[in-house]
Amino acid sequence: MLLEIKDLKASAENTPILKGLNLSVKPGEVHAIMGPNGSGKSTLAKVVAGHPAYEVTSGSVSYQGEDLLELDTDERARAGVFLAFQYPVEIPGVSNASFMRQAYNARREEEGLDELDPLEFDDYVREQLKIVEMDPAFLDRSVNVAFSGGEKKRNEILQMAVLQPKLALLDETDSGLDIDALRVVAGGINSLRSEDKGIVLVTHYQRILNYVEPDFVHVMTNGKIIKSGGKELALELEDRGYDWILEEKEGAA
Amino acid sequence: MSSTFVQQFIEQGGARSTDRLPTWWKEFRSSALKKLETLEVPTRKDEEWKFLKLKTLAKTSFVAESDAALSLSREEIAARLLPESSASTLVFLNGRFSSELSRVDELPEDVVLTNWQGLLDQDPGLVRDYVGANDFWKDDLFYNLNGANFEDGAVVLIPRNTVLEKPLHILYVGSGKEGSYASHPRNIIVAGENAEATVVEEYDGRDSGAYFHNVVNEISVGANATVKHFKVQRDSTDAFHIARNLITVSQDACYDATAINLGASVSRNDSYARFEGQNIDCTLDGLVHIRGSQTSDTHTALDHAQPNSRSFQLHKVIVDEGAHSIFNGKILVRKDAQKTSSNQLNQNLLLSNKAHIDTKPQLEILADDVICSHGATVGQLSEDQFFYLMSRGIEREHARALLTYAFAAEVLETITVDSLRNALEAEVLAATVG
Repeated sequence: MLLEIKDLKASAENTPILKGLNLSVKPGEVHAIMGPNGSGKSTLAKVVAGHPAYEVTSGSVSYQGEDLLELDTDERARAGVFLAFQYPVEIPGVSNASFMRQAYNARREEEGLDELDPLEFDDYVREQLKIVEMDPAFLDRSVNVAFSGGEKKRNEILQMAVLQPKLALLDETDSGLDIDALRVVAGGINSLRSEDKGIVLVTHYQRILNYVEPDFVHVMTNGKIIKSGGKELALELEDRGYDWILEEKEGAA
Repeated sequence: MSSTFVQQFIEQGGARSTDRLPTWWKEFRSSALKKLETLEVPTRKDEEWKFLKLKTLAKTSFVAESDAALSLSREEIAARLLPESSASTLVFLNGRFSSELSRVDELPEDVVLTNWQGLLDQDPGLVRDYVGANDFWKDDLFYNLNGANFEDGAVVLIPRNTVLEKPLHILYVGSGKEGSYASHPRNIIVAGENAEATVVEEYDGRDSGAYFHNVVNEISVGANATVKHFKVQRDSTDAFHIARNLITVSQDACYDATAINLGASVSRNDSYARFEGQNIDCTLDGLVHIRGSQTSDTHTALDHAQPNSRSFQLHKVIVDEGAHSIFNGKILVRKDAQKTSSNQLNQNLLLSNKAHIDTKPQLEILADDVICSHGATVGQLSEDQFFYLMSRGIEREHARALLTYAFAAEVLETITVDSLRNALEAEVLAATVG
């Protein structure tokens, strides 16, 4: 199992947000997590990545059989966990190229590989740029500063392509993209798909699933996954919204 | 009767030889000596000195430069020499000019790059019009200590229509190991009409032990001339550094300065820029990066006396551990200075709960058709930025260094001398790794 979350409960400033969540991701699988605003989807992604604002109050998260909650944010990243941010952070004064090179080298060092010098990294990153159809000029600009919304999202996918994570969590990477940008971002995600990697796609819209075909679709509400199914579930959600699931659940309860 | 602190400099100044000095210099010195009799070490009651404690400085006794002679080889200062200035470098060791370590050749005709003692062999009359011309600090203790004691320093005279491609490098190396000396460098930089030059002024401390650099710079930028002035102060952390920069800018001229203050136990870097014409561009940027128990104080005044000029100031401060930084930036727009545009920003980064910031941006606007803005911010590194970097595998300590460096980068990027900028970037990065 790549990722196994059991009965996870987490709070922010003493407000419970995740309320007993279960999720298992095997290598090679793509999981889509959908749900209304405020259901805790983004929190799930951030908790797995190790955001300090959230406190895990109970439950467990194991990653490749190891206790992920014991690792710091940077250790998780070096172990192969990646979070594509819903709102990527601007870092004035740090060039995109230098930032990605340092991140990439940290990962390589962890794996016992030699670091790449700036020239070697430049060759490598330019190959990855093609995947997201970004202009090399973005490499010299400060991280995310004065990037448009779409450029920021592409930059997240670029970082993912550079770092080649084993587990990628994509937090509403598709929100706010026009159809061309969506296609590019989806292409970037598909290029990461392989039998040893897992992808968790947190999304509000079914649209991206036309481009990135999920193996499983989960519906989350009020801090829990309340329904899981195949990709057809996403289409049903698109047609019928979320209310019928909530009603179904209340009916069952 | 002046305090012991002032008295020691009256005695030292009075004992300095006047044999080779022209009359005007002798008069300048004796009038400063006389003025000193009436001056005292400023206290915190003095508005201009409200936050800077001078107690340790006032308790220290100093010897003259000649009683603390320092000798270094070229190899020992090699790391501080700029490849760009291989033919235009003046080196001073504990305040005294070193002709062995200095290199001046291949300069365009009529350019003067020398020290004061060298100027005495040529024509000291060349600088007469510039010494004391801008008398903004005529009642200031440190300005007068310098006036009564200065014997050496750099003299840079660039004739009209002359463009210097290579930067000039003025390097002061200080060490308290040979004795606690006080030195009063006076640097004269004059750019004639249409002239262009880049000047790097650097103070570099080595070894432990106190010493005192009490600097006066007199800078005159002629009509339509451009002067870039980069000052780097990394005096030893036992040292005291006080500098008065007097800048006079003429019509259509451009003066861009960046002052990097990293060293000294107590440092004060004050600049006063007087606009003596229209259509002037003047920038006074700064970076202060201090830690431990260092204190650094910067006071600036941009004096817009005539219309249609622009001034800009970005002053960034990083304080770590128990350090204390003070900034007071004044923009004066006089009644006739219509259409002035002035933009000032002071940003402070606190890296520790014990660090301390005092900041006071000041606007005094007497004209009614101007665009002026000023602001000050005090902040810490953002947790969002930490999380972003760490989520990519970068360790927290490394992220801290990277973010601190990023804060400073905007100021460092203004330095157009590549080797200097690269060295400073590396230093700032290294200094922030805990």
